Amino acid sequence: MSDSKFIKILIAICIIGFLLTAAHAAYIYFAYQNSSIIYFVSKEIW
Amino acid sequence: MKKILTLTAVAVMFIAVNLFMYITITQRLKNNFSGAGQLKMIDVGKYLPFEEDSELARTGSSLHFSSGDDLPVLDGAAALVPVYASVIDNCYPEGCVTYEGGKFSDDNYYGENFAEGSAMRYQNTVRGFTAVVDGKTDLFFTAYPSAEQMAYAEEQGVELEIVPVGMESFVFFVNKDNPVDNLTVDQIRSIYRGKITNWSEVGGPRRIINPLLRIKGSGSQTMMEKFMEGDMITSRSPFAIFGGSIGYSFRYYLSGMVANDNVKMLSVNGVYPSAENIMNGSYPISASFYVVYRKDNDNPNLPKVVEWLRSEEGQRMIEECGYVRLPAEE
Repeated sequence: MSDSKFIKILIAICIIGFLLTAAHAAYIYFAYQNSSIIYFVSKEIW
Repeated sequence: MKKILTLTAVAVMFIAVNLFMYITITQRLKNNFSGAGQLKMIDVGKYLPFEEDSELARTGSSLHFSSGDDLPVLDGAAALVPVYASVIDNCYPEGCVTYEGGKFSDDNYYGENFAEGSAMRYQNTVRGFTAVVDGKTDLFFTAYPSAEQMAYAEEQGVELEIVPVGMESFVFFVNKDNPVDNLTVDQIRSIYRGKITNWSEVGGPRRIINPLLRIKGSGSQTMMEKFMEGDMITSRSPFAIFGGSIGYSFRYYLSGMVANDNVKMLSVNGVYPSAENIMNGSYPISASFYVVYRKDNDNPNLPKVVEWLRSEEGQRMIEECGYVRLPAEE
C-alpha cells in the first residue's frame, strides 16, 4: 500500500469514526435528559 | 502489513469507544421522550374499569351513577390511574369507558386510545392538567399542581378547587448494589444543590453522585421542587453520567406500578418508607394527593364524587389501592 493511499484510508476511517461517535454522543445527550430515571438507575453498573 | 495493522487499530479504537459508551450509558436510556413513551409510564391496560382481570380496588360503593347521568370525566397522573379507575369501577355505570375503534389499545402516538366522551381518560400530569383547565376533563387526580400549572390556570382566568383525597410518600432510590441505604433530609438537599457530589461524603464508596431529575411539570418533579424549597439543580449533569445515580418518585409508583428489583428505596433520617411508617407519620416526606377541578364546573355529580372520595367508603378504596388514607382531621 502506498503512503498516499494509506493516509487517505486513515483519514477516511478517522472521519467516519469521529462522525459516528459524535452522533452517538449527541443521541446520548438528548436521550439522557429525557429518559426514564428508574430504568436508568436499574441498569447502572456497580 | 504494518499499515494495515495501523488502520485496523484505529477502526477498533473507534468501535471500542462506542461499545464502552453503549454498555455504560446508551443501553440504560429507555426511550421516554416520544409522546407515547412519556405516557407509557404504566401499563394502563392493567387498570381498565369493568374488566374482569383488572387490578382495581373493588370495595363497593353506595354512590352509583346511571348511564343517563352527567358523568364527570376523570383523568390523572400515572401513579394515580389505579385510584381514579377504581372510582369509575365502583361508582360509574358499565359502558361509560369507551375506546377509539371500540377496543382498548396503547399503540397510538399519544398512548392509550380512550375515546372522546369516555368517562376515563389518561393524558398524564402535563397534558391532563391543561385539559382540566380548558374544561375538557372534569376531575384531575394529581400531586399538588406546580407553580407553572397554577400560572397557566390564572392566565386562562380559571379558578380551581384543589381538594386532598389521600396520602402518599415521596421516596429516593438508588441502584440495589449501591451500598448506601440511608440519607438524611439535609444530605439529600445538599446533593440536589450540588454541595455534596461524591458518595464517599455520605458513607458510600468513592464515586461521583449523579442526581437525576424528572420532566418539568410532572407530579414527582413538582413535589421535589417543593421539598427543595425552590433551590436545586435544574438539569441532569452530563459530567456525572458515569457516577452512581440517585432518583426520586412516589412510593406507590416505584414499589407497585413499575416494580423494579434492581432499584431500592432509601431510608430517610433512618426511617424506611414502609406503609406502616407513612401511616404512623414517622417517615418524614409524606404528602397529600389531590383532585383538581374548575370552580365554575356546574356538573352536579362532580361534588358527589369528591365527597365520596373523602368519605369512609372512598378512603377505604384509596387504602385498597395501596395508598394511605387522609388523617382524621383533614
